[in-house]
Amino acid sequence: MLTDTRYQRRKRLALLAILGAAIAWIAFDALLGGSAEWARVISRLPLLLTGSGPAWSIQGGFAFNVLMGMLSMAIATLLGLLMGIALLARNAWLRRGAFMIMNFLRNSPWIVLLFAMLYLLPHRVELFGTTLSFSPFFKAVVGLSLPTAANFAEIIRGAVGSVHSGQWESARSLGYGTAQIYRQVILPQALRRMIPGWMNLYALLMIATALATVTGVQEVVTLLRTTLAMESETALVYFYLTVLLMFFLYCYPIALLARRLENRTKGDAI
Amino acid sequence: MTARNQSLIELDGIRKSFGGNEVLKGISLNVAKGEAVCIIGPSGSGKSTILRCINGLIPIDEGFVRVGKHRVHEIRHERGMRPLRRQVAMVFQQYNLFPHRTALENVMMAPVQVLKHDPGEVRERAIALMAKVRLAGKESSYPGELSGGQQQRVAIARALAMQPEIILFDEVTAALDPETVKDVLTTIRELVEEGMTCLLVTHEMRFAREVADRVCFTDHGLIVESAPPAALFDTPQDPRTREFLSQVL
Amino acid sequence: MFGLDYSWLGDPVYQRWLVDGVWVTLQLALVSSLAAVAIGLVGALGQTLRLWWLDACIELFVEIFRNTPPLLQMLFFYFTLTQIGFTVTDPVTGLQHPLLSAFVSAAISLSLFGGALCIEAFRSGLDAVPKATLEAARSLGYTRLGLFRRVQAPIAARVCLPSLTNILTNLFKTTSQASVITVPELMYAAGQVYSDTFRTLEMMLMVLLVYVTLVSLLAWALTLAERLLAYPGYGKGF
Repeated sequence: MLTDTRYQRRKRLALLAILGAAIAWIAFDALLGGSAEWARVISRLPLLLTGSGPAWSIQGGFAFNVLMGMLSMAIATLLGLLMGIALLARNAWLRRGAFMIMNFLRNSPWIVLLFAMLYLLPHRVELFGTTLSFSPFFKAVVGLSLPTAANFAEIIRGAVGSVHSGQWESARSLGYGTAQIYRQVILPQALRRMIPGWMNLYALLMIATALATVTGVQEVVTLLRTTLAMESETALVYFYLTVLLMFFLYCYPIALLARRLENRTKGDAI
Repeated sequence: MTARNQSLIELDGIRKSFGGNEVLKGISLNVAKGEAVCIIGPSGSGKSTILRCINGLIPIDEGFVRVGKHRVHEIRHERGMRPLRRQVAMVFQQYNLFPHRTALENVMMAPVQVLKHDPGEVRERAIALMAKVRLAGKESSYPGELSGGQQQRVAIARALAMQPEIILFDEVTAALDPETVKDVLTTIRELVEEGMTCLLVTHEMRFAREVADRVCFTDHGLIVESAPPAALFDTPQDPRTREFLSQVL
Repeated sequence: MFGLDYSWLGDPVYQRWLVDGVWVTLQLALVSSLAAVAIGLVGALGQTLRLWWLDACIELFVEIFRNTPPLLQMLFFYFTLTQIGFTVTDPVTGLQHPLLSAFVSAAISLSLFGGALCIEAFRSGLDAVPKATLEAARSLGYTRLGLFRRVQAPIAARVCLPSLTNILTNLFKTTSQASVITVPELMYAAGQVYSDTFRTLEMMLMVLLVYVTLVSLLAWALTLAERLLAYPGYGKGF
């Protein structure tokens, strides 16, 4: 029986070995038969990343995914916070209403929500004399932020619920009011537990930005599919692997960091 | 030499380290059949580790462990430990009942599933044991529905259901409320009086003095002093024993 | 109501398309859920063997599928699997069909995606069984297999159930993405209908409602199972 640290070290080495072998294989393949395909991928890489051939300006591509992810996350954080507060409200009707909205959004597929937003939101609105036009990009951001907000509200509820009831009792016995208990006692503890969930949610959202292709946004999957229409069938696998790798390289470190934070907060006295 | 061979448990020069930290630095101890031996000492002195070396839950680094005819230090595999585990039962500080089974099922599980005894016969035995630990009527409660003291008595019944020759008690009252401690200690006292070989790690000095045939004081991974309770508590020989007793008594 | 026009819903052709779509969605969800749980069990069991090289392979599999878009996975499997040329000849028409249809590609892709999530959930369930409880079982003489079967697995199963509920509802929702690779499930059928009627908003709102209803039913059933299997006296995740 190996000790735990030695086992983990060997496992990590094995993982690195597999990754190393994969990189070596790609390099080997690029030098020999596959070089033509890899050359094509590289020539298209600026387009896939920024949406413009020479990569001078950002007109789409993976950069759009990142941008959509960040904007949606900002909106979702705000909406989720409001929904989370409503979920914890003392007013039963408010609580029930928020709960229903949250469940509806959590139980609907992202892609269907995106489609629904595409048709539900008007193309432009007249507001105080100025015309605001809603681009597909904006609609995608709204469509992605709704389910994310619902998930964030659930994370908030879970984190607040996980603070031991003894904390409520002791704070109340010390004469704190409800708002004070939330602000001074519960939230500081709950916040620590929310952060890993929030980060995981961001990774999840980032992955879901690929779905924006159905709204016609020039993000990486849309560009990939239009590019592939012009490429030979043998290059196809290489292009797919490249884009999969983009998402993986962006999301995996976030997931890893979230897990590390989670393990750290696990030790907290509950 | 004869005394050695008659003893049921024999430990000689056991050493054990966790990481760089040597917890046991050469423990030697003999327990005869029917004897009740209490191990006392400050926390972190390796008391619980001694118990776990006896039933092979922790492999030792160096030394000699014999229980009955089993030479524990020579057994390399979990599989080889099984006959030993049937002979030696253990009761834990945190009860460690199986939360997904009722109290009675907890008592019955191992005899039926491990020893392959007849379920009907085990059932009778288990009901009798539940009565013996004064928990008649609690058979169908889940561990989560019982108090700490009740859970601990179920754990003792579970250990007894294996019909062991030896029971190891690992600070079984340390996690209990004072009022439930008494019930558990009463149960253990009855077992000792019936002649069960018991090895107890405990913080209950009064109890140790009352039930033990012999008390061992451990400090920093060594047995400092070993004597009948009256002698050890009233006229401790070693200065470390005296200091410890002056703090706890 | 609200200027929405649902008169097309009376057309039996559209009804047929949508009902067929729901049926394909249910099939896809069932097949990939079962396969995902099976993959999850095999993977989590594989990790309990404590073979570092196997463990590393499983972890890599899990991380790759968890951290890339299921839509891209589906597109990847669809194009590669239908390309590598397994074809069958239809005995009646003599035409060549790809052996791995869009449905099969979607099922494989979703199974692997769900399987990766299941492995992670089952593994953390097994890890959540307190070491002390396992020690107690060992001291009662259980073999490694017996300990796993009688103590560790039953406790872990109850710990896993909430996250399994999450995974299976998530997987059900993800089946809607199979429409992108032309699997004729509900989303795809909806597209067919609105390209005919041009009632896009009405269609999407209806589809949304159908999905929410189905997913809520699934979540409700799984939560019920959770409650039935829970043992008294212990809170969630004890």
